[in-house]
Amino acid sequence: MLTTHLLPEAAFRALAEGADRPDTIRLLRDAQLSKHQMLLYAIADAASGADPGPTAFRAGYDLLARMQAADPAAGHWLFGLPHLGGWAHDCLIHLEQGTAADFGHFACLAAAAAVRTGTAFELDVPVRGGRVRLPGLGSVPADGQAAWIRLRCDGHVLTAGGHLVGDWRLLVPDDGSATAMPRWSGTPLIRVAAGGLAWNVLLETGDPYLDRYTLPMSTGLSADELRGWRDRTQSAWAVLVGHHRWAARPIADGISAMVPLTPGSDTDMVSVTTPAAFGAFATSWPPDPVTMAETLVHEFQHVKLGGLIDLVPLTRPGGEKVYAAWRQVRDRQAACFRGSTPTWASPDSGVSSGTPRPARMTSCALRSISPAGGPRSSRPPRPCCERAA
Amino acid sequence: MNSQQRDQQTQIPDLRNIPVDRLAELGSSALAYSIALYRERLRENGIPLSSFQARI
Repeated sequence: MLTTHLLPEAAFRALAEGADRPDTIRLLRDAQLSKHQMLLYAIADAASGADPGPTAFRAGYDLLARMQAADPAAGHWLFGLPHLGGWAHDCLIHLEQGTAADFGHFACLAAAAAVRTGTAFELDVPVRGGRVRLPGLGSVPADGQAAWIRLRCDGHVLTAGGHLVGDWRLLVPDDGSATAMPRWSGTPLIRVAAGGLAWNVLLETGDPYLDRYTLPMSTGLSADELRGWRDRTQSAWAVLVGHHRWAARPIADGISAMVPLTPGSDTDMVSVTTPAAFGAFATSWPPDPVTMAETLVHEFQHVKLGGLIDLVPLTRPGGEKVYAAWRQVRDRQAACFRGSTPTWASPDSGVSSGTPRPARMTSCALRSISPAGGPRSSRPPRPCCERAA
Repeated sequence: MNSQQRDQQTQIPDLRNIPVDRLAELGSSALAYSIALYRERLRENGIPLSSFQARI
């Protein structure tokens, strides 16, 4: 008999109070594994026909089934990728609209899971911008103009279109310590540590399905820029761990990918999340470590709320539009609620000073949602804008 | 009231130990219902983005 994920009252209370515990974050992550598998199944239902896309999808699906037969937990890494969430939601939107879904990209996702474990496989995968993306790991150059290329792993080495890429054990994200390989670009991986607390996060600069935020993804970072992101993240982490350790620990458990954004102007600082990609957030270049630390805390509240709303609806569908303190127009209650989250679930004293003190759900942010009147304040301290992609 | 009684059922079926090639065996079940529910939500809300912007 099929059961559903359970949400203990204690976990709900912990999330509402911002008092994140490892088991609460694990609960949200586990639910995302199931959600992504569920969405994959929904997409599989539509991936029929002899075109290359659906054909590649089914080959990837079969490969995943084979990996799960050998190891029931084989899909967990794949279903935990925010990259998969971004792609799956894109597919579902296209299916809803009756437009062409990118079925074939799932072959790249399945191939990434297989490469990561050294599983033997042979798949045709799509080429985008002259490269084959293996989400969560890196990318391989594809010679020529072909739209598809054959990836093959014999359990020892990976080849792409007949060219040797390398030993599968070396095809990992680039944490800055690896020896360069001519036919492999590992996704930048930032490893930071402070006060005995470590965090590993991908700096995603290539995945098309994580390039769906309010600003474009910063691609093609120079070595200096990449070093800058590593240094800034390390400094921000030291601030968080040093002053707000309670906030840092769950971020290490719940955030696995960060997307650098290209700002519209030199003075804009923008950060964004989407519930389509649980575990990821996007940000333009943070001007200083404290701002980045604050951004991490802020965006993580949105990530958690997205995971919670997947489990249980917190607002009724539709309903009247209301004013929120940070919006000049009326919006749906669900959007106002999502926008308010960082305020009620973050330390109300700010990151840079004060004692950590999780705000209660009944704090000023929820009171600031005004069903009948106009905006209570036109300049809230932390405005959040909610919009549909 | 014990802790079990306070556990809330959610809208996400627990598929962690079910391989993808066995999902079809679940047939017209809670899985299909959950998918329909999720797609309805997506239809209504699209994919929301929570964007924070500051002038610095």
